[in-house]
Amino acid sequence: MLLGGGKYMSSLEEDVKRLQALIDDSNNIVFFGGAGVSTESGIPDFRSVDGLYHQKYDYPPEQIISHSFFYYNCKEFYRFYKDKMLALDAKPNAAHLYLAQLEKSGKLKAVITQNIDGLHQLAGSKKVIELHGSVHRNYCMDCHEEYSAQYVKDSDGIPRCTLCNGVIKPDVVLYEEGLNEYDIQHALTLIQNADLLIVAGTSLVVYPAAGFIDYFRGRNMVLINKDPSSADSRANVVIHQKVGELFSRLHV
Amino acid sequence: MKEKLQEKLELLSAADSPYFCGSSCLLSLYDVLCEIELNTVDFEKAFPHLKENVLKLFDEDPRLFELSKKKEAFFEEEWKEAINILYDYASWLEDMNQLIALVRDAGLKQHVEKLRMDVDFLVAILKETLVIFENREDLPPEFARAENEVLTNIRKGA
Repeated sequence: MLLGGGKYMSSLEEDVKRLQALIDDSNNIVFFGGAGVSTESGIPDFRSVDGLYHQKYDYPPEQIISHSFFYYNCKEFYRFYKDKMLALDAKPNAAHLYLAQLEKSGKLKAVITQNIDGLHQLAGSKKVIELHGSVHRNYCMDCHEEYSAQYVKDSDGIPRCTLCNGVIKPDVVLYEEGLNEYDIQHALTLIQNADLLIVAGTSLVVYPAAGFIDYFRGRNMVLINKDPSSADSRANVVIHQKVGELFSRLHV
Repeated sequence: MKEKLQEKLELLSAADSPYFCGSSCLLSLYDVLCEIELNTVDFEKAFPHLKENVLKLFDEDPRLFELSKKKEAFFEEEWKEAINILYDYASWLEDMNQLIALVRDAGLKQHVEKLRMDVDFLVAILKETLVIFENREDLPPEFARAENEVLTNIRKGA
């Protein structure tokens, strides 16, 4: 653990003890998570060294997962999307389960996530703000009929509406698209009112989501990431551990 | 069975779902049991009710939590329900203790870790629920007996 930009590393046990004390001491916790929360569920972080961004594809992933690419090259978008982003067999890991347990106890007020995998809900969390949408919500662009992620996964090529043959679009925020205004306001209010903000599995490089933590006014902000990042200085407690491994040792 | 599980997954993810983390963990455990069954001779004979019990607990876990939150006096039926759920937990724990020992003896380290993790998590949340019950002054003796059976099986597996 690094304290206030300090220089020493601590053991997993010390990190668990410190984080546990902060959780025990707070009744208004908000969790802000990124891709690193789901990597232990087998969903690769597409910005990490071994992730999707470094695998070979016809176009750079940032380009494929963009609004204009979806409209002008929909078939290729879905080839990538179904292959790399629809991990429907993934299961919640210890971090997802612990957060759901913490919410059940009344201490955790909400999970704000940048992930689109729906694993927090699958773990039993109820108050989840999905800033980047969800692969589990899909709709026809013409008649707005809703479809499951499984339907999209099983479709051949571009998924089409069974009612009007319109193109189905996943309810995920693509590059060049804005976040949902209501979700932003809701997330900011929660962060502003939180006493303890736990930020995990995100390098805090993607805006506007990365700017959310500037709104925190509470006592303690904990940043948990496997590796050090430029965002470390923004928290007063920094822990460099795998999120699931760390959370599997916590109790409510 | 696959359809039944799919249905349970949808129940879990729905916005107004009454299910919590315990049910999620039980569903994950069910998958691990299926994996072990594939690699084990006579799993069904050795643990004839385990998988069925896990699916039953999927629904019972949130119900027990709901009952624990009730402030008013319980109806007799509600006590019966809570006690039956505790006996299901006791039976499940007994099976899990035996299964973990068997899987450990077979050298399936990865499966032992998965089972242990799920059991530890479920035991932790069950204990939290039991603490809430213990604060009641009207606990019937049969509840205490069932709770004792649960706690004994937890200790045996520790």
